[in-house]
Amino acid sequence: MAAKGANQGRTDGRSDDEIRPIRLHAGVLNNAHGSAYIEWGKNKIMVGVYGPRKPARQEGLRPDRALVRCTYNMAPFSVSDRKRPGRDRRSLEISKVLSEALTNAVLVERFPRTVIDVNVEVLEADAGTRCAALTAASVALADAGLQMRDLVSACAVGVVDGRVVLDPSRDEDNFGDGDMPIGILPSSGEIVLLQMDGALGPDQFGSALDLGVEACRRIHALQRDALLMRYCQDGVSRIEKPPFSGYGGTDTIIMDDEEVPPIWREEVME
Amino acid sequence: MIRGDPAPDGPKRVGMIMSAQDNDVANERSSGNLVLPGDRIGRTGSIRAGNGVMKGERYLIATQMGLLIRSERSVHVIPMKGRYRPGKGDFLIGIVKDHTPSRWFFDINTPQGARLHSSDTPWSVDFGRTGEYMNVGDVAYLKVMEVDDMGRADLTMKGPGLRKLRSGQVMGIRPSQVPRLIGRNGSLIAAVKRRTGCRIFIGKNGWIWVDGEDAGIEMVRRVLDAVDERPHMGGVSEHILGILGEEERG
Repeated sequence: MAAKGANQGRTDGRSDDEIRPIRLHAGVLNNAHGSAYIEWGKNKIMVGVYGPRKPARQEGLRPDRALVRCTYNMAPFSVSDRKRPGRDRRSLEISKVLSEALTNAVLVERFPRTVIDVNVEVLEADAGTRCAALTAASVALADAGLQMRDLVSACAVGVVDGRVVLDPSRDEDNFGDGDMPIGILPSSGEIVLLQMDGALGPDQFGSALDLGVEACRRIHALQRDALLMRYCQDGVSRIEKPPFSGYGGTDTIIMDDEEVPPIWREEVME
Repeated sequence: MIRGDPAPDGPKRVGMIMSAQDNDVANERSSGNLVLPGDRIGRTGSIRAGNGVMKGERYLIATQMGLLIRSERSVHVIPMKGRYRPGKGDFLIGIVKDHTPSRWFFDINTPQGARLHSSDTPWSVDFGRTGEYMNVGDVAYLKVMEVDDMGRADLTMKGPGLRKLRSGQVMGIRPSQVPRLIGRNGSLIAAVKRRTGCRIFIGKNGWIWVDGEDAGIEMVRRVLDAVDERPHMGGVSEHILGILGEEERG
């Protein structure tokens, strides 16, 4: 990293404000109430939502609201070294911040004394999983028909060699100076996730936040498309095919309707 | 914005929703009439916010993924999916989950559950004898009397048509699709009953009790599957009448 000049491109050739390619699909699991699958660069994440439902154990239930319980889990094969299965400090932390971010989006007061389980399975990890997970989780929640204030869009911003870059890759994450995941409610602009790992100066923080929020809005467009696609079938739908909002001009974001998961394809066929 | 669909089924879904000529309902990002959580669907104060719509400071915001329906006085969202929330006066199918000396607890397809007191039944049930009238697994056609703050429903079995349902079986569809199964003034479900020869009770919670000959039940199942799969499509009535006609010929 250090060998690269300040004006040179990034490790994977992206520009500083470029997101890795994203593919997002809603409703990919039949048995979950709502689900989503996201490929964000080399990340592959599946999210299933169950609820609102009565939990097996009543403890911790709130009489005035639902509990959003997010469980973030990395598959043993999700990283190049085998990950020891089960919970660890990192997955507990991410589960907590995701639960809190999603609680702000879901109208939890509509479902007192219930839980909403959000299961996040990371199949392949390559930096930025918590943002990808949050993005997919909110799509899965909307797919489950839950009442929500808004979707949640998330993206990380990093600092590499003193430069603020969007959506750091694994190398940039590992060898950079710091990174900051940001999650927002796009309609209101409220921030529901903001963490910082490493040191960002005040100026860097400001520009990183601006860059991240702008990226979240781009991601929001993809989330909308993924959800709308679920109910848009040519010729038979009441709803017209959505005009893809996929921010033309850049190649960073693709919505490829040729390559879709088999479940989705079945629906189209039908 | 909506494909011409004068389907005589369900609530009025006319192609007016996203006309967006005025500023009141202007959300050019919504395609057709499918809205997503967070979508601005009008200005606060311009129109009454119905189900699935939240009043924001300046805008009305959709809170559920579904079809946006705008009547003259209110705007609401018919959800594509989602759990049933009990409403006062709803008729529904319940399955007994448990009973105490004076009450039954019902599963009514909600997370919170519901209860029926022995005095709200047509029988005079002696204290401690609830199990002799209905036991775990029994099915009943009930009405929601009251819903408390926590979403728990108090049920009643006193009223025309309300009863314990013997034999038969319970099937389920998306609760939001129930009006479409019933059809305008009950026309569709009447046709289903006529052609299949089955006895059918429809619960607003998406549960449907069916009893009759095996062939009829099978046909009802096909009809329910067809309704359930088409939350976003027009012409559901025609499709179902097609299924029924086909069966009749075959």
